[in-house]
Amino acid sequence: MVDAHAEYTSLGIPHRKLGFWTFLGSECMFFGSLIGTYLAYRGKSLTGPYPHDTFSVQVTTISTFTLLASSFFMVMALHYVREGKRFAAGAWLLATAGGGLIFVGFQAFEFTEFYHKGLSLSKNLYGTTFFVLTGFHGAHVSGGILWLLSLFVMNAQGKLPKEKEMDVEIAGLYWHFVDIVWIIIFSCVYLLEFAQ
Amino acid sequence: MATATHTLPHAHPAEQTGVWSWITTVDHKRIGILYGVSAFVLFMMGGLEALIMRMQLMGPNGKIVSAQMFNALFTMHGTTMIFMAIMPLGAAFFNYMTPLMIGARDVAFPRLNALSYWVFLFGAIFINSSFLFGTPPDAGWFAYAPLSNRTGTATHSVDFWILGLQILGVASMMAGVNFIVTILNMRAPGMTLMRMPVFVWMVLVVQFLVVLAFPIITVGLVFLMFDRLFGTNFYIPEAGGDPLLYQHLFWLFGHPEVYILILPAMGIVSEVLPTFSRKPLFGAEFVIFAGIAIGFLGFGVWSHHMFTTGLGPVADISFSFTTMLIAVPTAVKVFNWIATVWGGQLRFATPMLFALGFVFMFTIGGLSGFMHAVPAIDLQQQDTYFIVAHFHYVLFGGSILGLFAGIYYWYPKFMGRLMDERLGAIHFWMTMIGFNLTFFPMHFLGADGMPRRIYTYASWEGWSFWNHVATLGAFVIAAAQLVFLYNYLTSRVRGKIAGSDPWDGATLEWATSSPPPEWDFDRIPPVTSSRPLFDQKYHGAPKAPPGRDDGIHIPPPSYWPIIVGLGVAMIFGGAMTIPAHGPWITLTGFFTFVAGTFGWVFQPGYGYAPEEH
Amino acid sequence: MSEKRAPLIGFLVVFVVLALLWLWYPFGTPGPEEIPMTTIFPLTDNAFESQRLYAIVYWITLAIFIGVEGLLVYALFRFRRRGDETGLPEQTHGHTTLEVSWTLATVVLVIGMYIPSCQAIRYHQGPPPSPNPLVVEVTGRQWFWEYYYPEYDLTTANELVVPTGRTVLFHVTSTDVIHAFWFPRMGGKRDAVPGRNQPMWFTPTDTGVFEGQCTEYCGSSHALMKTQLVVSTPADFDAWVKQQKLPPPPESMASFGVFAASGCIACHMTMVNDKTVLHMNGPNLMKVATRKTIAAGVLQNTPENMKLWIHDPQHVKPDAKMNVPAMQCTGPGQPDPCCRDVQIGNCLPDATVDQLVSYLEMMK
Repeated sequence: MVDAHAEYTSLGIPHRKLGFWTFLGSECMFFGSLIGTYLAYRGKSLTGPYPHDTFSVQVTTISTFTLLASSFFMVMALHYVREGKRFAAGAWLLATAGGGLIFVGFQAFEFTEFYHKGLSLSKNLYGTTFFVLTGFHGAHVSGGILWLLSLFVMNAQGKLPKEKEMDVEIAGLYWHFVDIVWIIIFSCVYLLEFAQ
Repeated sequence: MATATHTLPHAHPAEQTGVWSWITTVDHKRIGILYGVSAFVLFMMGGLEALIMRMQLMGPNGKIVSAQMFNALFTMHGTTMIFMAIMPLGAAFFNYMTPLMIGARDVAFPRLNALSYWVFLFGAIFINSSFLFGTPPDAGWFAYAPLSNRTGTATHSVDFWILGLQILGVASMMAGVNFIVTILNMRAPGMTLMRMPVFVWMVLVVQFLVVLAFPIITVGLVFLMFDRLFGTNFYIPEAGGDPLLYQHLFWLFGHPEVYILILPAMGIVSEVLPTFSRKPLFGAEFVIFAGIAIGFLGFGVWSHHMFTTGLGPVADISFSFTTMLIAVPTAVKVFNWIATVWGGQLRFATPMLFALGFVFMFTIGGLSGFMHAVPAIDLQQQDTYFIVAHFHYVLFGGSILGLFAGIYYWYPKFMGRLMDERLGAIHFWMTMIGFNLTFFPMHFLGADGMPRRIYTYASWEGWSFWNHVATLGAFVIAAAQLVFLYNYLTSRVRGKIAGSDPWDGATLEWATSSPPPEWDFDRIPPVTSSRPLFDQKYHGAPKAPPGRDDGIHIPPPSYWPIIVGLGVAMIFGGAMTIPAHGPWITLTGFFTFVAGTFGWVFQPGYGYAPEEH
Repeated sequence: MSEKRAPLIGFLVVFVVLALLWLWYPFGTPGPEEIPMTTIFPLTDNAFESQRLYAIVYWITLAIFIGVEGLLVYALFRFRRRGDETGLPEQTHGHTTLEVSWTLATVVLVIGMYIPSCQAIRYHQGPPPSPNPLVVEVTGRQWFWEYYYPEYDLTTANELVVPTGRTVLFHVTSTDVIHAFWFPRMGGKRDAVPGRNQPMWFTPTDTGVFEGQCTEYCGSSHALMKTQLVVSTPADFDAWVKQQKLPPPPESMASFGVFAASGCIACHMTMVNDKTVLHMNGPNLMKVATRKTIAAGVLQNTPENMKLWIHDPQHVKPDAKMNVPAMQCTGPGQPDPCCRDVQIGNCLPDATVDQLVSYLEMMK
């Protein structure tokens, strides 16, 4: 497409990559505000259930591990796209999306589980802040999965030659960002409850 | 395909005129005009709302409108002027001028630019459509919870406001990303950052503010929306939520927003004053760094809007300090502007009148702002007309006068003709007189204890005289804008032919024809200093050779932006109906958005080359 | 071609007029007799402190205004194009020493102003000057003010009575939306935020009646959320407290029935005024006849106004929460004018209203 021009840029960074970094900067403020709110309201719920009544840190550790592993898969996918190895690239792209899917699946399980334990959006401050924070993160992961699957299909159709590695690299930036945000959420929301 | 530029068709694939050409345009200049025209229409609406309020307050016990309508009017006046008039008027300039001033042929993402505009337009229509539904927003432009919560306002009025603002936020965000990339990445060879025109610098600072500040209000609004629609507890005191969280999130955005509104005007004035003084901007690098400093400090002063909420002495002491500190870069700018005029050969053309008016009036706003930085004084002035006076000196005396300076200054570039000077002077002086008649007495009213946002007052309160004066002034302002409108429209056919450089300008936009060709420059001009064109004219710097560059690439028109924009607007707009009628509008919007995005990504055609001479 | 003088004269006139108005205001503006809510005639320690800082900044900013804008106007006169110039003016790009000097000058000014500002913050937000302040719990409501005196276990509405010479310590809160509690001449505005309890104090010295008003936008009738501060001598204040604690006059008991039967009793109390009546839906009316105004300071407390108010509260105060039940109305076509349209919901027959008014007039 047009972007594949060896365009002249003042900074030597392609437009799309620079633009995407800028976008990630604004995403930092977005999640920063959400996480800040969660922390500001932590322990302020007037009624239960409280985090200790709901969390299962083992389950969330597994899903966190899956998501982090998918970041590694993403690196591999980009590597093979750059190498021009279509099959390997496709496999790693699918693995990345799969890691994300497992994570979202765990999250869906967790949400239903919590709901059965009596926690809902409107139940108390903890439910409000927890569901909105992790829900927005989950929505970001889901968007990323769609993006990765689109790339997988393009790759399968042979529309992802190594000249278009930037398409994959930018998806990778997004995916790593979403992972890093999860590390912070996992620390601030889950681990903090068990750190005494 | 990457190297296939030589196969670009020369023939125009679409009409150059007509409605369809405007709907599908991705040309930054046409998008700039679209922004300008829409914003001016909304500016007139916001002005009309103000005029009705002034009529109501002209004397005690006004009966022009009901309390509820008055409250809706000041809510929509503030919302309209900030998000739908001043911001997009700034956008009109940075769309039209930025590529021309940095020697680029377009913006980095032309279709994204069109999308920004359409999303903005749909957002503006969405918010204002609330009048047709009989539920205009009436919780104030700040919509503090719990008044804006379901218990405070049960109707959809606040939903219109929350969702509309999010739509407008999406538009600003996309424009922010686009222009950061454009400015950082598409400067003509030789144009280092410190050689960039100060206007472009201020636009860059503004875009960073937009990109970093809008997510914060988005979160604040999302919380409010969830509280209203899905029963969450973010701002519900009964559940342990704190209404002040909303204020923190709102003003963490809200104060940078003030600089989003004023910095483009400061940039325009920094272009106009040197041109009409026939001197370079005094201490340009100080003006630039002052702008950056204002941008940074803007994130650290928000709680000065909350001195009366009782945050405690530590917070008040800190925010008092940061707020006062902003006086330093602001004063540095004012001093540099005066030093620019000093020793020049001043021509009092209309752009210069407005730019001088800006310096004059903005300084007053800055001085009254310094008063509020002292919490002890702010306690007596918060939410009185003194504040109304202060920010109108900043946003009208500052932003609006600056933007008018820009319109008169660059009109010949847009239209190829000059605006009428006589009418311009009449417009300026009427605005100036009307403005001071309206807003200077408001300082007195504030010190006399008149609170803001009251729809009526009694005669024994002693506020009648200055209110009467202010209302007269408001009518003078309104009449002045009609003079402007007449001048603007008639000068398109009757104005003097401008030529490419009517003001003896120093920056690159004057190096191309008026109006510029679709590709902006036949040849990208060489840049060796911060005043490239001045150097060519007076110092014999090399000019671009005649003829036209090969391989100029004009992006194809596209209808996908308006489709994606419609999808975005429906996603947010439909959210309001979810609790009652289900998510159907939002889902339709989502599918429109996804389909539009795919259409966008796979749009065929690689643009075209300019027609041969 | 030389530049015309008209714009220069225009700027000069605007400059001089604004400077003169700026100079005029502190001396020329009418006093509290004509503008009761004025902020520049302070009466308490709290307000004096604000005024002290305001005065400093007022004159400093006026000096800066005259200096800076004067320089600008002078520059316009001096450097306007005269038509006999040859070539360009000198192309000065900047002057580092000048830049550093005016930056430093501004910094000095900022620090100079910051120090008194911090002192004032400490003063205003520090402990009240008197060790034994009169505590008043203030609650903002849509759209009236409730005052509770823990010391006397006394609840009143809209009319705040305090003695001279004793610091009053307020705890300000709200039960619905955010309001702001403010008596301009007493100083110190404080937001009433639901879920929070914010302290504020001042020490009244002069007796009199002073006006206050809600200053945070709080909905339809924000403009009509006024309140009065009555500052009395300590003896008068004690007498007022005593009177407030007296039971209702016996002769009023006969009319209590109509008050109860009309539904007023659901939100208003007329029999007690201790803490139990705090945060009922409506203001406590036990001693309503002693108050100077009704409907949150909007109407003088006269029988005619009382009648007007009870007849149609929403007419006096848009969206007022007071709903007068239409219990005596059976349907359209009744003789009483207010019953012709039961749609408006809130109407009582004239006779009932008269009875209510005379009952309330006895409440002292």
